[in-house]
Amino acid sequence: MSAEIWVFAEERGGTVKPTSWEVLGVGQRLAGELGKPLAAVIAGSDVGSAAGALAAKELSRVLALESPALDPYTPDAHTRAVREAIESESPDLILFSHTYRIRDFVPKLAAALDRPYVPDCVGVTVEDGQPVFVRQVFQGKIDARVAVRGEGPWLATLQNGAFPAEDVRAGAAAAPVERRAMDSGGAASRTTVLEVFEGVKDKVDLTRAEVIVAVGRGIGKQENLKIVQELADAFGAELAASRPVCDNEWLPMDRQIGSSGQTVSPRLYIAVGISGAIQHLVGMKGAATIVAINKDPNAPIFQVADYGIVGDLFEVVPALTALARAG
Amino acid sequence: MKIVVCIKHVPARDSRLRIAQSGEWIEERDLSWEINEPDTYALEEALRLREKHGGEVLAITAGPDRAAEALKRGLAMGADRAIHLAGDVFNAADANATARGLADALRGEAPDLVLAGVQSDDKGYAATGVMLAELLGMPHSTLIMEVEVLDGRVKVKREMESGWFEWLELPLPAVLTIQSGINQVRYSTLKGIMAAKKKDLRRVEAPAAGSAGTGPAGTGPAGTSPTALHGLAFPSRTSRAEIFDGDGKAAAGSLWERLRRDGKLR
Amino acid sequence: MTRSGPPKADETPVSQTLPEALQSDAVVESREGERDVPRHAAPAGNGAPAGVQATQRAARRVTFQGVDYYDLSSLLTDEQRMARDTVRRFVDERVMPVIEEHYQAASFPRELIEPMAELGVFGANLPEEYGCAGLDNVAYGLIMQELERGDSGVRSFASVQGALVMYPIFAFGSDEQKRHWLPRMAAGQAIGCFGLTEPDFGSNPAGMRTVAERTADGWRLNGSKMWITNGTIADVAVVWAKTRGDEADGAGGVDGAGVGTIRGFLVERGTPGYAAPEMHRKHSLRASVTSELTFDDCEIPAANLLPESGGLKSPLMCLTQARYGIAWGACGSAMACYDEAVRYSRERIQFDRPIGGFQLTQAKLAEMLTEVTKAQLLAYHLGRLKDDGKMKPVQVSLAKRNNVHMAMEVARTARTILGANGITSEYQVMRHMNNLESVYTYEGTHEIHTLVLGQDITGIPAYV
Repeated sequence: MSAEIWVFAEERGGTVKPTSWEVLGVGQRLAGELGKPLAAVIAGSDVGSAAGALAAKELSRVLALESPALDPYTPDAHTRAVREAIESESPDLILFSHTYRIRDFVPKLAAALDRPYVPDCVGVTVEDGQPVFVRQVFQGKIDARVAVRGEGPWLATLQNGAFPAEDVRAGAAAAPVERRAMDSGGAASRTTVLEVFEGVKDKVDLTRAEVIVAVGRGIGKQENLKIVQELADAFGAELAASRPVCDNEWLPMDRQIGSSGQTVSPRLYIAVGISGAIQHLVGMKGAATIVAINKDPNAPIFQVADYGIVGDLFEVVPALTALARAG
Repeated sequence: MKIVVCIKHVPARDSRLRIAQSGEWIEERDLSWEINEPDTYALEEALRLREKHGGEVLAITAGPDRAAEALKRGLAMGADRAIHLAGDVFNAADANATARGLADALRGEAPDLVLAGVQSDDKGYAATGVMLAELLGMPHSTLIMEVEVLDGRVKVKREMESGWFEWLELPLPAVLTIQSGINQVRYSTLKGIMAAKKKDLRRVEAPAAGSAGTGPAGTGPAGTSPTALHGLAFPSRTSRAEIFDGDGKAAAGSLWERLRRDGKLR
Repeated sequence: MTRSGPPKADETPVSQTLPEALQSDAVVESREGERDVPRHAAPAGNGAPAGVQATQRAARRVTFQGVDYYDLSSLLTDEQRMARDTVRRFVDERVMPVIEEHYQAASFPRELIEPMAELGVFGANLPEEYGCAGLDNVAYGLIMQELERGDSGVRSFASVQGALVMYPIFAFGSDEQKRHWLPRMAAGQAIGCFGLTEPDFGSNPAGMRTVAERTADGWRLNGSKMWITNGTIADVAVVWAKTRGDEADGAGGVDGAGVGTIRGFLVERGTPGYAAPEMHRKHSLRASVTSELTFDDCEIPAANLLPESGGLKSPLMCLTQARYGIAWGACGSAMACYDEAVRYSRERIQFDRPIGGFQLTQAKLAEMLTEVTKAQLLAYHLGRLKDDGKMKPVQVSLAKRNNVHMAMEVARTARTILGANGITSEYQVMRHMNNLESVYTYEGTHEIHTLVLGQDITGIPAYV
């Protein structure tokens, strides 16, 4: 049996993270193209239910690495557990999502193993029986292919939101789950977790909003927010914003949409002066209908929008407000 | 305390880039360069810690000849001295190769704290600092929002996902990657620029690609990276949005009609 | 008027109080894919998704990138480049957000004095022993360029402080005067002004009427000065006056009353008989203080004479220093206007295409860029001559004359590209254009510099 492809899944509170399904979809495709078995790996103090969810997918097995030392998360403990599993099982390729946690320990793992690490990929194909990665460089201005030298296992992370989670295929039968108690008798983690806390309490719940009008830094200054508030009122919408607007304290942090804010899927989402950085897109691309108003025709927001106006928001927004008021 | 700050020399933000003939890197001619912006927050944090606790700030970079400019800018901002790990090989280096170079150069320095930016504006691996920690045998944490140096330990606030944070404690020496925006980066004053000329900027030659010695395991000679970029290309942008033209009012009118017709207004 | 241009919002630095990264998407956010269903994710040919190839941090602060068609940067030393970049950033972050308001309100941005001093802008080419940065003259010129990219009034403030007050104290002052004033002025704790021009003697300063009469223990000043930048806010004025009753004076002065040579005096704020009322209702240099200085039996101690000053050549030496900075500063104004015109011509749509796609606009832009580039090279070489000790005042005249004229033309052309929007406070061009009207005339009018050159070419003076 040839060496496996692993997909490293993450869970929070017993639920598999959505980004892990994205990676699993890619793993299934590559396993097919490379003719290798696919295993899902998950690590934590008690990952039974997440492992069960993973086992329902088309996989050869689920490897659940369990140890009390894995909760709360520390890079030392996670590196040790995953490294131990890799060294005993020798997979060929390990795919991760490019989450904060992965960025915190997988580079350490790659350096410890002295194996190639290809982070934040937006594409993976197979050429001549080898995976070929595509990643963005120079802040997304340029795409680059990545040539990998040396033996496996290769470690790669995939950009969140870059691959469809719905591609994941269910398995004909549940895959076997191998629960592995990891050695926690080794050196203790050097990091001590003192406290984990949420930045803003009692936040506005944008996730229930039917219609959202969101504003970005194209609005220029706080005083200009008025016209966007009026648009929101005319549409009966909640007002939201991208990160720079909240960082500037023009709107409170709990109005922020995006990876470090709330994730929403309203019926209608009107993006005003938002360029559409990936961090924002992941928070709103689930909206049923997206309207974008931006002066830059190349703004990434138009790639996810259904309707767009390339123009001056200071002209468009008041005009749209007037129409909405008139009904 | 001795604080090392890892900084990188990258094309200025907003630069218009061209891809080199080889397709493996950009055309470097006619570009202006600057300190990787995320690294400036790390440097600022280091200078503040020195002002509070005393000691020394040492800036280090790995890069071709031009990268010395990043160190001069760091010295002008207030770093005490600098090491330039010099070699053309670093343009093609991945995080692993760069971290190995930096680790070798830093081994004799015995820093108490190593700070780095959260990622670079050029290759954006977001990995070099973490790898460096492993190679130096130090604990680390990433995306740090606040740093408090205690006796032999450091207490840090780390940004997690979706608006969550955690407070952590690590023993020193440690490596931290600093989240962008956590401080207001100072200007290098004109006097600082002149003072920097007199500070110690040491150049250390990196082994050339293909020279004796070995690089990362299984990847061939020293100076080569386990992974390399090629086939650089500008992405083609596609938009599927239906765009409404005309002046603001006309476009708003067309959009409104369309939303109504498509049943998007309820 | 209706707003018909592209929004200006992205071009305006948004806030003063927040770290710059927070004003942009530069903060690295979590890229958690919290959605189950990306909307567009079909793998494209190269394996990259067709949809979300988003630029990670597409929108960010718009910073001035300079105009450098001939890669002048590559000729600069690291120190010169850093000096330019540090002031460029200062102008982006501190000057641009406030300058238009000050201009409209006709107020000088006094809040900028302290940060400019912290940066080391004042007298930046004077020695470190007096608390100055000790930069070379090319670096000094680049600083003036960057300041005037923000506003001619801000550059004028720095020019007066450094070249017209600190310089004469440095060049003609006693040790005590240097030790007293230069560190304070470098630190922005003392502001200076320069009094040479009089209501009736502009281009012809030799005719000045202000007189300094020798007294038992000092000097008594009588007369008035006009068009004095910083006058009202100055702690000390360098005043040029003709001496009377000095041992060195000859008997037969212009009025036969024993009037001697022109010498420089330091007059401190609050000295009885000295007043400096501000001149109002200007159409130009509105973000700058312009004043009248009056001396009515104003008594100053003997120690306030600049001992090494003597003759009209002393103030003219100061003006050469200041004009050198103006030659660079004008490049800054022109760069700002050109940059704004280019930006606008790419964004402004008429007849369904950007106006930058029309031949008339392109011809204007090509002409502007050509002139800016020539002026930059002129300023740079002048700086090298100055650093080599080879610069001649006539060369400064040529550069001041050419570069300010160039900047005015560029500003006017830029205004035409911006159309009606060009006259509004949303854009910079008209502010620069109006400022340059003053710069054209002060520190030796365009016409006088023409005559300076004419005399140097032919050997024949043609002033009268």
